[in-house]
Amino acid sequence: MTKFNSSYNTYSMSDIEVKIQRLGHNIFSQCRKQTPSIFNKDWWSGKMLDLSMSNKNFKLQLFRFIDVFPSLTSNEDIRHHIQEYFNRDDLHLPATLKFGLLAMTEGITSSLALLALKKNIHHMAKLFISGQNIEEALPQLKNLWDSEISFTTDLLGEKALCEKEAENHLQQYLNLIEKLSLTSSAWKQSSQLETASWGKIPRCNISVKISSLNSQLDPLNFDESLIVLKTRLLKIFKKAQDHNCTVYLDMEHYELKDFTLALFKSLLEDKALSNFQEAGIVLQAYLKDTERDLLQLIEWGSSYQRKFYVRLVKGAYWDHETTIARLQNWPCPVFQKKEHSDANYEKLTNIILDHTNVIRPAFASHNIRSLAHAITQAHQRDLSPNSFELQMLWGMAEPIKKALCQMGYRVRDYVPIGDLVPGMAFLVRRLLENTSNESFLRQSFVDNEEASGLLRAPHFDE
Amino acid sequence: METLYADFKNEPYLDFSKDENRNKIQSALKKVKGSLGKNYSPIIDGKIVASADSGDGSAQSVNPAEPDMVIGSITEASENITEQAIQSCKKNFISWGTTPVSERAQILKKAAEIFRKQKSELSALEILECGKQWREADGDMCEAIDFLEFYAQEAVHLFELKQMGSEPGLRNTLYFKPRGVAAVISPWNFPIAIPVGMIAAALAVGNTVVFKPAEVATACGYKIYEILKEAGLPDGVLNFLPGQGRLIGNYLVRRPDVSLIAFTGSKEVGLAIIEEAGKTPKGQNHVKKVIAEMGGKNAIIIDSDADLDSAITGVLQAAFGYQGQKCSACSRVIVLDSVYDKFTSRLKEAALSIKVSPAEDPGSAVGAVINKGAFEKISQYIEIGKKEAQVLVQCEIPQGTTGYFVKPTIFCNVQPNHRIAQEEIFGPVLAVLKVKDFDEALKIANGTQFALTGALYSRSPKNIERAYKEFEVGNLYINTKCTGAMVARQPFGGFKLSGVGTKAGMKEYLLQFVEMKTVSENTQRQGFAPETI
Repeated sequence: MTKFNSSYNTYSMSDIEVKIQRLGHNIFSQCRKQTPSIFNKDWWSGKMLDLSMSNKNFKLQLFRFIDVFPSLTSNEDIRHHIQEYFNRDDLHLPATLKFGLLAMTEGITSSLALLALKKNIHHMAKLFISGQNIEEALPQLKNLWDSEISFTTDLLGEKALCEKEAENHLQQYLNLIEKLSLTSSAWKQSSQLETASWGKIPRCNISVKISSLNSQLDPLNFDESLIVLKTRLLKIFKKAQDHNCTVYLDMEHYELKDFTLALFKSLLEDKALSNFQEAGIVLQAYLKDTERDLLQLIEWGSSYQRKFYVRLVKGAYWDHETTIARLQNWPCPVFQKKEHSDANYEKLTNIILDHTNVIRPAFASHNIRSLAHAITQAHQRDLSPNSFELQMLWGMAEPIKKALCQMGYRVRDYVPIGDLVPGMAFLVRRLLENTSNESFLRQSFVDNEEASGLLRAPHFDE
Repeated sequence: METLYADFKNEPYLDFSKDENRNKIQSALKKVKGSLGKNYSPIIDGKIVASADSGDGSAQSVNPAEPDMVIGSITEASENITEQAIQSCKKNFISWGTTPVSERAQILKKAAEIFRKQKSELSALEILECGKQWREADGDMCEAIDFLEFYAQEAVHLFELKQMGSEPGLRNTLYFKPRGVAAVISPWNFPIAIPVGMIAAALAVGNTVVFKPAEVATACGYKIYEILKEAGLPDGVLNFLPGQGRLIGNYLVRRPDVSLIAFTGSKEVGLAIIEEAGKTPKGQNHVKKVIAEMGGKNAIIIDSDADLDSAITGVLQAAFGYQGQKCSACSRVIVLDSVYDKFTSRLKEAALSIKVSPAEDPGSAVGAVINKGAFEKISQYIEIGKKEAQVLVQCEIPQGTTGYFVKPTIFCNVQPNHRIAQEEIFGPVLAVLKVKDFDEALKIANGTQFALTGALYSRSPKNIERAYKEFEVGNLYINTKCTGAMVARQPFGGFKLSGVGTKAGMKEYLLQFVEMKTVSENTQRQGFAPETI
């Protein structure tokens, strides 16, 4: 213990912590005065999210209404549902809003008001979903690229109910790779986006949800599911190899975690992919298992001499995992405190950065602290700025992306494509994420909390 | 709202996403297969018995997916042996009925512990003997453990003396006493959980039990006997009678020394038991109590705004899980006109994607039905359905199998009065009915003899509220499938011709296994009475 190790943070901070904080403040100062589009109160979506944050009952009804909305086919249906969802005393809605909502259900302006509502909900969805199909999404991707932000695209529609749907999803992914590669080849060169420390990296980049590719996927039926999915994914990976495209396997629910990891390894062990350097996997820092999984992946990668991408995320199914574990009386797989997930994220970041001989790191987060930590730790290890990348969700945290991009880092957007109906699960997850009390974006851009508090180092036990 | 049983923790299902849990079942299957072919005989007072008129051991329990695989041979009990079992129970009731409830509960809890340890082997046995898929078998084990723990816990509460009223001068006490000899006649579809539930309830409150398992689930039934004995249950408190239901069951129901009959099975047998048990033959100084859980013709309503992804998944699991051989299984799906086409076309494709194979295969979504009789009965209903309605889809079954596989079948254009929409088939056969609105949906859902389970997939708060009030079933599920009830969370049982008796898996179930007594004692002496009691 030195005499400086007092209760004053600045004195007890390690050198590296001082650097992280400095970088964090720097990023903050560049983006604080801007507002991410989702919180823009000039728009209906911003107003609705704003009210959701202060009114729990309204949030529940609003999210449930948004969930049912795409399946409502007639105006009559929509009117009934508005009545049933919002004409309740426990909502304590502001008079203007209540009046506005009920105006949709009766009177001569009703049809016009409904039209406006439909437009508003579609607008809300479009904040997070780039287009209904690849054709709609391509101009958006081009705009991104022109603003020096790269992308990975994902097709929404997370669960296949039957093999026809699964086959259809497979075709869509194959089609996506072809169209992306064809179209993007005409775009301008960008050394910031296309050069990594290990060489040139593809413009095309897709993220695949394995649950969309097999309707009978069940970890109980492990071996057979593995065979079926491997066959389908080999088609995608080979197509990616032919068209110079990166493919990430997204990580979904905990139930599929072990399976997804096994599938990933099995794919890369296949002879057909022995030269494929563009595969990636996603790890979720909120899972208590992930450190062990990461170490096993590194060991496996070293023994097979394979390089692959790891996208480190916090994890988007926290509510689901917590609910399922309680319902089933299973040990909860996720850290219960958000700070613990944040601390684990940093721990995993360090492990990843210590193994860039195997892993090509991608740090996916909207949390400036987590990103500043990753960048500083990379710098500390003398890794060049293009030896890793930073990933964020399309439509979110624009000011942060802009700041990082201007600092010269490779920023990649996760860009979903798809219809509103299959996209609903994704949309509701995003809305939950943005309105949560613990959302970094909300704390930074809505609640305007102090930067120093938001940048404080997370710990496992406090 | 008051919360009941918030402290009760259900036994967790195995998480099959973990390889160690998959391996457990896989190696248990190997182990169990290596030790098949035992003989199962009646056991009375802890001893194996046989008599001149008992079976010769030629009866067998076999694997329904592979009938050449003999699970065990059975020496069937005769009437004579059944009478011995009743008399043994009658004799042992004197001591068991007066054993402190805490001691009885302790034995049940010990049994739960043993079940936990043997869970994998027992699941494997169920998979082989009754054709239950892995998850179904594991669920059955967990439910059995829950019944033991729950009834043990609740019997202790029940036997705490209760005071009625608080006025001074007269002390009113309520207490309970066991009824006597209970006959437990159990089905094969939940071969461990259902008999364990009925036996545990009877034993916990002090009755002795003659246990007659379904013949096709004899090996599973024997395991229950074996574990309870290992847990310390005295000899003769539970007597084990394998054999034919027609013979043993009929005899048990008629005997004057039987006080209570707990039955789960078909409507026909259940109603016959109720009728027969209502008689009071000479020498019988009590009216028999019958607890009968019978059948269902359970419906799932698909509202126009339903989340079809979860509705279709739920319908298929509820209709085809364990080959539709659950009293809670869905056999009718009632679909609002506006989503009918979309729903049926996706349902059809989803059904075509599932795998029909022996339950031992971890990929099996539908396996073989229990025996030849079931196979024939279900096949006949499929023929009836073809005449009455139209086949929407029929799944393929494994080629060249000797197992009792029927093609899972979904009929559309079914009318409410069709036999396939009214009669319990107890197999993987589903009738789809189209309705114009929610009123008609409820009317048709309620339009059978049964009222066991039902489900509604809807996102309309108003229709959900109506279902709470108007959907006439014992167990209603909203936006989730209508099977898989859990102890203390979804106490199970219906009304109309679906059964008589209180729901299994809640405290009140135990009340059927006891007589109630109130004692009023004058505590005054010359006007002087204690203030408190």
